[in-house]
Amino acid sequence: MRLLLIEDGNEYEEFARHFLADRFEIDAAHTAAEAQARLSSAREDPSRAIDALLVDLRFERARTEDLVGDLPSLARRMFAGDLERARRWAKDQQGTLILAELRKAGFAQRAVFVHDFPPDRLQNLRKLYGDVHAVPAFDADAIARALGGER
Amino acid sequence: MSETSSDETSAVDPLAQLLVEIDPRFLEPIVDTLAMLHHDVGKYITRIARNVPAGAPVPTSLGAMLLKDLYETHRGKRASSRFSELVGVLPARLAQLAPMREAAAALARIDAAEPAVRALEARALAQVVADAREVELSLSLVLRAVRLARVRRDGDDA
Repeated sequence: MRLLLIEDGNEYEEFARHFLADRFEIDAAHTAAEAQARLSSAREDPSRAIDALLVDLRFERARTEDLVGDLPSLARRMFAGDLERARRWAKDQQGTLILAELRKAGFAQRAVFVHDFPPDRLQNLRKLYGDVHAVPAFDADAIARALGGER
Repeated sequence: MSETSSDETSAVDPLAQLLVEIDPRFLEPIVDTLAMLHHDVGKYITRIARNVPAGAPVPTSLGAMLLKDLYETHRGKRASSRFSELVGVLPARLAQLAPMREAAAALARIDAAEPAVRALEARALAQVVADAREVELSLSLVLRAVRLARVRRDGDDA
């Protein structure tokens, strides 16, 4: 199985290369644009098909220009015009915003977050984005099971 | 039969009592801060620690990653610094709950062990792995307990 990691740093990649590499081939992207490019190119080459996505939720270190989400519109709709609060929110939720973009582009692979979502939030993510799972901690076996790559 | 474990219940009771006294307007920011605490501290401090079999020696090949998880995590800061920052904005009574004090104590032990951990001493590595797990468990317990108390309170309000 091939796994695409989507994160703003390299912590997931380090983790995956140590603890998941026996079960997955690993690729990584750091922005929505990169993820979309990787998935598009994999779609054209079946030998590099990507089976699942492991997505970070918070992208604190992302550059503003790399963020998905219309910040002025978010600021108007949710934060009384406060652009800084909108930027913080977009960073805090960037993983789900990227997933939304990928779903819009037709990529339906299973997505797994390493995050302790409240049950109603996870249910809502599933309604919106289909095959979504969450594992509350960096537990390699649990993550592999969620991704569908059981030993 | 209750759906909560005895551990959860013991943490829920003082929290439930506390939540009754908290102005509902301040509840969401508290839950958000606890979620951030679990994410920035609990999740990352156990990135390696959670995957080392309990009681087994920690492979020194994981040393650099473990050091990063403990001492150079959120924006390059120690896990204990991030913990202090976030706990600092919580109501004092919440920060004084037993699981929060246990997490703080485990983080203090992790900081005290830094020279030995950097020297990759087997005993120190094993101890900080156990302490890191304790931090994650404590923060997870508080987060889940507060969420549960909120659900119960909202149910009562409905």
